[in-house]
Amino acid sequence: MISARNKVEGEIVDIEKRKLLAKVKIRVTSPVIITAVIVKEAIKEMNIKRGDVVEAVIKATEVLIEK
Amino acid sequence: MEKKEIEKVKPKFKVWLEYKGNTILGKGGAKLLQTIRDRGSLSLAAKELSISYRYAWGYLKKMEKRMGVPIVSSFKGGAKGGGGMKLTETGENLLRKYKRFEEFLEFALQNPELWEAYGLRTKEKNRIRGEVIKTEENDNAAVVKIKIEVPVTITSIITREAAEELNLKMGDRVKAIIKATEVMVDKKDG
Repeated sequence: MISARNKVEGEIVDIEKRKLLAKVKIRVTSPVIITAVIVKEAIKEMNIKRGDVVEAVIKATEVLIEK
Repeated sequence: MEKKEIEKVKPKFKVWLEYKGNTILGKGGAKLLQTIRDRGSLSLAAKELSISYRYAWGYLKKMEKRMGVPIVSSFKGGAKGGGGMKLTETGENLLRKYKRFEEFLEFALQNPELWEAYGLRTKEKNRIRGEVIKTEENDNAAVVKIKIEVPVTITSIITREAAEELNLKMGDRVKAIIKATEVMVDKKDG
């Protein structure tokens, strides 16, 4: 479960190439479910439960691209 | 301390070369070798660096003793007379090696883009809104399934090399891959 990966399909709407890095923006239009694996304490602390509106926070450098 | 002040705190580093556990060349030694190379003479080099000839000589001898081979070679005569000094092949190699790593680290520390590449600093974060449809607790971890609101734009920062290898271009259909353990969950109060 720890190595579970989310695959989110979308369309590239912007590419900005810099010297070493490239910033790619992917537009996602079809509904998708993102799985988060967090520590158990966090879920209790924030009282996360079914039906809550939350934000999935992901560093841009942790988003890989598959074509 | 204010955030603005923290920005003024700069990382610094020191590089030195070791051989069999002994220091061979540090910043000062590299400067000495470089100056000998540029000036072609130990006395001119010592003068330029404001160190005594004796000290510079002792320094070189210590390096040579530790390496077990000559680092510099002296020669007599020459057009202007008085002889001079040049680096041996080992001396040249040591200086090159030192400079290569020094420049690399200097470049790495001065280049915020590289820090980002190594994940040391990330300004860019995706915040994707959604609804929790399921939570599940294991021994240590909890799994949270979030149905995200679409349309949404996800930003990915990858190396330029990777982007070119994949030949990414506008309009391409791609998959954003995110390890579940890299997804943090934020819940606004209320």
